[in-house]
Amino acid sequence: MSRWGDNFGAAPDLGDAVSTRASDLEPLQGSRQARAIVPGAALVWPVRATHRSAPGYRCFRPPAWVASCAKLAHFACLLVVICFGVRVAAAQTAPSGAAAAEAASAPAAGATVASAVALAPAADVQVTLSTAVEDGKKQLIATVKRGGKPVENATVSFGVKRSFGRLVLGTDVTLDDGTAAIAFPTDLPGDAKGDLELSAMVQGPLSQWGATAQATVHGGVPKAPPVDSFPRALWSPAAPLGLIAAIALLAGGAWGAYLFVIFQLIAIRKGGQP
Amino acid sequence: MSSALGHPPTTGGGKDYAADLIATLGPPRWPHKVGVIGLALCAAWGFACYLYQLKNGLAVTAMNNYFSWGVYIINFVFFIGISMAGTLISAMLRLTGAEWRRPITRMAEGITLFALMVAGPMVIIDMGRPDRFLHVFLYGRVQSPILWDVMSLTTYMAGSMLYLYLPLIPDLAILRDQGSHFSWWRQRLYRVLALGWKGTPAQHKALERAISVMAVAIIPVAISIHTVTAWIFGMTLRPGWHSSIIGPDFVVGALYSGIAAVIVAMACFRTFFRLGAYITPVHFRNLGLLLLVAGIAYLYFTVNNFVGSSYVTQAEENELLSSIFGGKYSVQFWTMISVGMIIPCLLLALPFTRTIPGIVTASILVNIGMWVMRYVIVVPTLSAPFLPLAKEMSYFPTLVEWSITLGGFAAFGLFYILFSKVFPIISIWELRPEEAGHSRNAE
Repeated sequence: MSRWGDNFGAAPDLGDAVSTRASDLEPLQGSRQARAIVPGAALVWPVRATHRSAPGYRCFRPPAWVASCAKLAHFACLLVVICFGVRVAAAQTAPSGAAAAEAASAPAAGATVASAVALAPAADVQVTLSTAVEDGKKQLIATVKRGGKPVENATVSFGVKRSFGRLVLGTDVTLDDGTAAIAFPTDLPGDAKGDLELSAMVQGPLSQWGATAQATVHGGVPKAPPVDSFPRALWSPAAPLGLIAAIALLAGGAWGAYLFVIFQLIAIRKGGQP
Repeated sequence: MSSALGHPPTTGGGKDYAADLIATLGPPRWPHKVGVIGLALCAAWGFACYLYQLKNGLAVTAMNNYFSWGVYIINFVFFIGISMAGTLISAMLRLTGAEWRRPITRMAEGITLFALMVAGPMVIIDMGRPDRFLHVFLYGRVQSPILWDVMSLTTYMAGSMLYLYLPLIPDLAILRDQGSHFSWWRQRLYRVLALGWKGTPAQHKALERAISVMAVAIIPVAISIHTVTAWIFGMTLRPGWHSSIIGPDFVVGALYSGIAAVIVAMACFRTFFRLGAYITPVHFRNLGLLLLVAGIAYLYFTVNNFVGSSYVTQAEENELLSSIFGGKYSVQFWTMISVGMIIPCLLLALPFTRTIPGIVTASILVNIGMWVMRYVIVVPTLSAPFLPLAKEMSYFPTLVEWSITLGGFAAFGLFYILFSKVFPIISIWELRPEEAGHSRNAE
């Protein structure tokens, strides 16, 4: 580990990612000094410790040119964020229908993604989710309507809720009756009863994006939550009864013996009295 | 002189052993004075350094976010280890009827108590905010091994005090009966602590019963403190610590270092208190053989630990083992193996080195080796975390940490010397032939 005296005073090239947060400051061995860690680089920039209670300690003061560079980088980042915001606002206020569809299919892929993230789900689009059996096979069907009329050529994504998010089961494009369908998976683990929380979401065109339907459908493989026969005691809010009993037994046994000995001491004292 | 035992205590085969032992409580000679002053200065320096650390925080130590434990926890484990001595020498030998134990039991019990008095504060010294120690009692979780350790430590300390005090009572009565031989504060102290002991059959019966109960109770308590201390390491899932035999490993290591500490104490008292007539070569030889057995057992546990780890394919385990066997901690590890295990065991095993100097040398080496072993247990594992390191980390204690360590060892020695100048370090009443015969009949 390099010491303070080894390289303090040299002016290393800090790059653009010098961390000066308190949490990134570590004390060096045997000294009241700290260093700032530069993420992703082996370079360390030693600085005076900021231990407030220690006499003679000074707060960290980066060189002036580092502070200037940091401010410039900060303003540049702000500028980029503002530009993105303006573009998103423009996309939201754009006319719907064909113009929006054109915008969605525009070659500027980056811009499309940014717009999609900022869009609110279309409020006037209704999606319903249902199951049906066709040709002996179970189907998952989503029906997309706008103003009561079926929507054709809308891309619908089917998904199922899992522990850490939504698992996409498949996508389909609506027909002229507004329906899109995928084969119902037969091997999906469900809850203890075999129920699945399914969803269908319109992903295109842009004017109808985000319209979602959710339904709890029976048809998954029933899977009861695992029963931990010996749960991790450290994480549980209360100690297991067996643990408390064991500790109480051991401690009680020891202190009970001490109590007995104290009674014997009292007996010794009484035995010495006339 | 009159005796609380109802008869003169000076009938040891024509030798006035009571007078000999009472004489050790007389005015200190120059080695004692030098020793007390030196140890007091070292302890004061250590305490001053602790105040400095308290004021400036743990930034004055070499500990950091990776090495959250350092030399203080090493000292804690070391002192907890040698505190096993009292239990072994006194309780186990008492229960097994080993008569040769009589002159050395109090030394061993003293080591236990004073080692615990140093070990406990080491944990608090290790804390950046020692005032939060109270939180263990206020908000402690029963599931936490830290809480178990605090409970075990306090239980063991209370038991050790009782177990040291019980066999002292008849001796305190003897000292009380010396009258103006001692200063007023000593007379008052002996009178209060003697509990009106007159040596009546009822008092003897109560005392024997209490000692027997404590001898049985203190053994599981002692084993629990060493096991629970090991669990603090073993339940953290860290490479090198997460082992199913770490509990027994710590217990055997404690026996090893505890016996060695008693032998060193015996040698000191034999030399400086001129107690060669009481602490004989038989005591050294018997304890030396016990030390040899404990050393072989500890070697077995150590090999067991490392062989098991070396067959694990986890990267962290491999990294740890390579740093211990051939990396930056290899010097400490091989020092521990050679100085702490092989050389002492050879000294104890060979008949021509199994003399008092040889046994004492082996014991000193064992204590040094076991401290280094604690270093090898604590530090290398912390240098091999599961999270990737930004750069290679290392730990070497700062001057403050070394000073506090020195202060801890000095405080241990100081407590021991002061105790031995106020209370007889060899049990007077247990050396009486009648007591030995009575004890044999009772057993």
